[in-house]
Amino acid sequence: MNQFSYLFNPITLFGAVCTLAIFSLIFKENRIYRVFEHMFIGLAVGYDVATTWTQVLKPQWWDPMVVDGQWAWIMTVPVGLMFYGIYTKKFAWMSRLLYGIFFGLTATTIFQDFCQGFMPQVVKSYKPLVPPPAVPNDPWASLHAFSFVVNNLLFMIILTCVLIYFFFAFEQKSKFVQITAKTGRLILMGAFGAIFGSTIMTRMALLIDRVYFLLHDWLRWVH
Amino acid sequence: MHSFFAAIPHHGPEYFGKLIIGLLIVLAILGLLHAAPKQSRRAIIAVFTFLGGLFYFLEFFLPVDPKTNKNFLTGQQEFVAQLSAVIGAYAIGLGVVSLGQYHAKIISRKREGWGNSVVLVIAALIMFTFSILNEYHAKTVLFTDPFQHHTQDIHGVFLVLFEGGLAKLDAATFALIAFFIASASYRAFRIRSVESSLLMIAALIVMLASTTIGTALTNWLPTEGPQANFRIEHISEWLLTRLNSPAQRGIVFGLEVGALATSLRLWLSLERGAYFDAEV
Amino acid sequence: MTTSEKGSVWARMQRVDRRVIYVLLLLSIIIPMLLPQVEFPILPSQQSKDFYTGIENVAEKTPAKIVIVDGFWASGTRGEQQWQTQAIFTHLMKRHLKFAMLSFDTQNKTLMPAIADKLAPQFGYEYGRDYINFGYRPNSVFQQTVKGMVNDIPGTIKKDARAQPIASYPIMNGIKDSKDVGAVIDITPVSSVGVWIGLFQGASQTPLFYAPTAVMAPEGYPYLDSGQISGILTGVKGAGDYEQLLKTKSFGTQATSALSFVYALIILLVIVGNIGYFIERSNTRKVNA
Repeated sequence: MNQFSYLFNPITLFGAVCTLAIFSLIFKENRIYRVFEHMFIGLAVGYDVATTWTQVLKPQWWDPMVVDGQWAWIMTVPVGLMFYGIYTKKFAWMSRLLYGIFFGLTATTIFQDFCQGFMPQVVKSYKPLVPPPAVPNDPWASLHAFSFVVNNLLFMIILTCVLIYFFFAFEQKSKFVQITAKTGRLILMGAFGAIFGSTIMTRMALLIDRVYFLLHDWLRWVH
Repeated sequence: MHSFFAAIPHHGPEYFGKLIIGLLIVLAILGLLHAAPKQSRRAIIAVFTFLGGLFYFLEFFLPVDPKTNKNFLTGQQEFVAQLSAVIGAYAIGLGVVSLGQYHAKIISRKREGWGNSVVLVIAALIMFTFSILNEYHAKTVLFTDPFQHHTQDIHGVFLVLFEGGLAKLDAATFALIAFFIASASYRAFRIRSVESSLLMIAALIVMLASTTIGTALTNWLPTEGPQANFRIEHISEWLLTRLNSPAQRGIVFGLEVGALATSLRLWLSLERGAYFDAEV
Repeated sequence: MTTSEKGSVWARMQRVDRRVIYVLLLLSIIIPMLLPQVEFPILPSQQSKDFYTGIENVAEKTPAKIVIVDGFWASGTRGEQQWQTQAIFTHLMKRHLKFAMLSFDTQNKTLMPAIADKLAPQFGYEYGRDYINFGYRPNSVFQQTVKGMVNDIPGTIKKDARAQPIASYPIMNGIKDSKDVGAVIDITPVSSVGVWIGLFQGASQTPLFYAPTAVMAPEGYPYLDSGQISGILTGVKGAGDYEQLLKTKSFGTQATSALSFVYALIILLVIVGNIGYFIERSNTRKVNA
C-alpha cells in the first residue's frame, strides 16, 4: 500500500468523481454532468423503493401477516392496488376514492393543529405594556423597562400592519388603512431580507461542506 | 367478529383459507362500489373522504376520560397510523411506473440522450438490489478489493453506492445553487426601490452579524447599556425577533386560517379545481 | 479617464464572465481552509445559547425521561444538519440523556444513526440501553405517527430499525407516552415543526427544540416568541455556536470561519454590482440627455 492509496478509497474516490461531475455544470452544460445527473435519479429511485420494502412493508405488513399470522392484512393489497387504477380509464375513479380517504385523514388533523398550535400564537400576540418589576441591583432597569414597552408595542403594531396588508376581503379605500397596509408591506420587505440573508448562509454552507469533503476527506490537504 | 379477524398460526388450510376470504371480501366490496351507477361515484368518493377524516375529528373533539385522558378512539391511533403507512407505501410504484414508462420510451426509440436513460435504469436496479441485500445479507463476501487488499462484502458495495454515490450526488446538486446565488448577487440584485433597499439592508445586517468579520465592525461598542444596542449582532437579533417575528406571525395567521378553510373544503368535498372537477 | 472610458470600465465589469465569480467564490472557501491559523473567534447567538440552556435544563429537571430526536434531513442539506446533529448528540451524550432517533426521510435513516454510532463509544453509550433507533416512517404518515406517539409510543413505533420490539430494550422501561418524553428535537430542512407543535407539544407541553437549516430558521421565530419552541439552532452557524458552547471543535467551527470570507465576498459583490449599476445608469441618462 503506497502513501497515496487513500486517494483510491472506493467510497471517497467515487464520491469525489460524482461531486466534480456535478460541479462541471457551472462551467458549461456537458454530457458528463447529464450522465451523473441520471445516475443520481436512478440511485435515488432504487434506494427509495428498497427502503419502502425494508422499512415499511416488510416490518409493518409482511411480517405481521406471514410471521405473526395476522391474515387480515391481506385486505390491504387490493386497497393499495387501487392507486394503480389511474392507469386505466375504467378504474381511474377508484384511485380518486383512495386519495379522497387520505385527503380526509390528513385534513382533519388541522383541527388539533389549529387549536393547540395556532391559538397560542393568537394569545401570545397580546403583549403586556406594563413592564415587570425591575431586577434588584440592575443598573439599566429604566432602560430595560423602556425597551420592554417599546418592543412589545412595536410587535403589536407590526403584526397589525402586516395583517391589514394581507386583508384582501374588502377594498382598502380608507387612507389610514392604505398607509397601514403600505407600512406592513415595507416591514415584510425587512423580514424577507432577514430570510434572504439566512438563505445565503444555507447555500454557502452546503458548498463549503462539499469543498471540505474534497480537500479533507479525499485529498487530505486540510486537517 | 373480533375472533374472526384474530391472528392464527401462519400455515395450514385455515390460514390460507382466511387469506383468500379476506381478498374476496375486499374485492366484493370494491366490485359493489364499481358496479354502482356512474352518477353516484362522486357521492361515494365524498362519503369515503368524509369517513376518512371523521376519525381524527372525533378523536380530538370527543370528551376524554379524565382518569386516562383518552376516549375510545385514542387507542386506535397506532392502528390507523400503521394502516396508513402500509397502504400509502403501495403508492411508491406510481413513481417507478411513470419514470419507467418515460425512459423506456426514450430507450426503445433511441431518442437523444437514450444512453443517459440506460444509466438511470441500470443505477436504479443496482441500487435496489444492493439495498435489499444489505438489509438481509450484509456480510456476504463478494470479491477481494485490489486497492485495499481486503475482501469486500455487500455492505461495502452498498456504502460505495449510497455514501459515495447517492449522498454525494445529492449534496453536490444542492451545493450548485451557491454558485448561482453568488453570480446573482453581482448581476441581478439591484436596489431599484425603497422596498428592495429595505430588503437588501436587512439581508446585509443578518449576513454581517453571522460572521466574525461583521461582529468585529462593532466590537468596540460596550456589551451593556444603551450603546450595546448598536452592536451588529444585537441589531440582527432585533431584526429577527422584533421585526421578522411579528411579520412571520402575520403570515402564519393567514396561512393557518387558509389551511383550516382548505382542509374543511377537502374533508367536505367542497374543493373545486382541475383534479376535483374532472369527470369520474 | 474620461466619463465614457469610466462608463466602459463599469460596463465591462457589469458583463464580467460569471465563471470569474465562481472562481472567486471557490477561492474564498479554499483559502481559509488551507490556512488553519486563520480562525476567527465565534460569538454564539442568543438563540443558540437558549438551545444549549434548554437541553441543560432538561438534563437537570427530567434526566430519566427520553429525548426524541427526529430527522427529516438528507444528503442535500447535510452540509448544515449533519453538524447540527453531531453537536446535539454530543451534548445529549455528555449529559447522559437517553434519546431515541426517528427518521422521516429514507436517507436520514442511514445518516443520523451513523453519527450516533460513531459518537457512542466516546461516551460509553450502548445501543438499547442509552439510545435507540425507532427507524424510518414515511413522510406521508408523519402526522399520524406524531399523533400516535402522544398516547402510546411503544404501540405506535412497535419495532426499532433492527426489527426488534422496542419494549424489549432497557431504554424503553417506563416509557409509555408523551409524559415520559423530556424533550423533542426536530432537525429538519422542512416546516415539520408546526406539526410537532400542533399535535405533540400542544398536547403534552413537552419542550420542543428546533434545528432547521438557516433558510427555515426565520419561520421559527414566532413560535420562539410564543414559547412553543424552547430554542432554535440556526444552520451551520448554530452548529459552530453549539460546538463553541460544548468546547468541542468540528466542521461547524471551521465552516463559520469559511462562511465569514464567503459572506464578505457576497457583500462585496452586491455593493460593487450596485455601484456599477448606478454609475452606468447615470452615464446612460447623461448620454441620452
